[in-house]
Order: sequence, then C-alpha cells, then structure tokens
Amino acid sequence: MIISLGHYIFLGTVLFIIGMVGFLVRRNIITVFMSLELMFNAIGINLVGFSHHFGIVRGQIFTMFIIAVAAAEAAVGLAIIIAIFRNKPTVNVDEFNIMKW
Amino acid sequence: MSGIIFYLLSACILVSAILVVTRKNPVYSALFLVVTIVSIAGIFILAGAEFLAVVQIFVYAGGVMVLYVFLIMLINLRKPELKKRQIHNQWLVVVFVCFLLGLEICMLLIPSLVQPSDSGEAARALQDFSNTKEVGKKLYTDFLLPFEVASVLLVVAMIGAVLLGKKDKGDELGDMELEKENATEEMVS
Repeated sequence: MIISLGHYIFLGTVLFIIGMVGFLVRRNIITVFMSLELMFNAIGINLVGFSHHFGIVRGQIFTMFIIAVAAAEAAVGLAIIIAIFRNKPTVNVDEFNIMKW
Repeated sequence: MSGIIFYLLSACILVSAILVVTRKNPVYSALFLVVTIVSIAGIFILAGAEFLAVVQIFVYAGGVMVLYVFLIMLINLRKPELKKRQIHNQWLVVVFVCFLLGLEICMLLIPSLVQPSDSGEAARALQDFSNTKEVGKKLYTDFLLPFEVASVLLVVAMIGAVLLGKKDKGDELGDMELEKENATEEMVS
C-alpha cells in the first residue's frame, strides 16, 4: 500500500482542527498553549508530506524553522503566563481582562 | 507494511491529541502531548525525514515539554480550581465553525484520497541519499540567512523570557517606599 500526499494532508488537517478547537474552547491557558503546539505540529506534518511527495528537502528545512519558532514562542509565552500569574492568581483566559478599559 | 504503520501512528496521534484537548488536569494534557509528538516523529521517519524526527524529539519532547511541566509545577493549581468549568461559553459556535472548516477541507481532499497519485518516484529518489547530509547542505547554503535569523530569534526569545520571568526589583523598592510613607503619615496623623 502506498501512502499518498492526500494521507499526510488529511492527517495534518484533522490534527490542526483538533488543535484549533482546543485553542478556542479551553479556559486553562496552559492547555491553550498546548493546543497551539498541536497546530504547529500539524503544519509540520503537512510540510514534510509535501517534501516527501516532491522529493526535495526544502519542506523539512521549513519545518525546522517552525520548530525553532515554536520553541521561542513557548519560552516567551510561558514567561508571560508567569508574569500575569504574579499579578492575578488565575489561569483562566477569560479572567485576564486587566488590559481592558 | 508502511501503510499499516502510517495508520497506527495516525490513530495514536489523533487519539492523544483529542485527549490533550479534553483532559481537565494540565499534567495529563502534557503527557498526552508527549505521546502525540513522539508519534509525529514516527510519521517523519516514515516520510524519509529522519533528521527532523530526531530534532522533533530533542526539541519538543525534550525541551519544550520540560518547560511546560515546569510551568505547571510553578503555577501549582489547587483541586477546586480544576473542578471548575473548563470551557468557554462560546464553545458551541467554535465547534460549529471548526466543523464547517473541517468539512470544507475534507471535501477538497477526498478526491486525492480516493485516487492516490503515485509519489513513489520522487520518494525513492529521496530515500537514496543521506537525509541529514542533504538537509545540512541545504541549510548552510541556500537557507543560511534564515538560519542566522532563527538564531537571533532564539536569543531574543531567551532574553525576553528572562526579563519577563524575573521579579521586578524596582517595583519591590517602590512598594517598600510606599509602605514607609504610609507609616510616617500614620505616625504624623
């Protein structure tokens, strides 16, 4: 059995939509960030699938950059969560209304 | 054979991704996210991207997840906080919109799933040489500038994380002075 490009894109799509639902629905900000990681990984699967299909390594290099950006995002995002938590001891995103006027 | 492995890994990824989103306790979510990431590394190996699979396991499962677990332990949620409602009020709208989006993309994809185009030729060409060597060559010639920019981005992120994470010394001093002023005012009055 051959694995076509469609399989990779389908897997990436379903994973992206699971991550999107989690990102928009959950209240706990830590889980929201984890859903964001799921979405990053879905993009990675897509790019690697295309790279496999066309037989060039360019897609894999882009996936590496995505991993680098995801690591940077996680570091800054989690530091921001800690900074907010110091001011307001909650992790629910709908209670973070300190910048609302 | 590779088809069976692909389907097994996909099932593993999707089930653990759903568990990441639905678990109440973020510790369990983090554990299932590790399972998802390792399975995705398996998919990468299946697609002939061995170097990327190793990077995925090192950076995600080793680095980023440790960061998450540290955060969960630092914030240290109490039980009653976890008993509360875990989803927004607008969840129905979100699920509806995401369902529509998924349906749309699936409609577009189903033709390519039913009639799989043969990607064998190009894939076999990719299998023949060392993946790591090829990625390294490409990364240090064609993608040298983005590579350097990525390193700058990581340094900026590191400095930003340290700055955001450390306690603000100025604020503490300000608070102490404020307290002193309050105390002297009380004494005067």
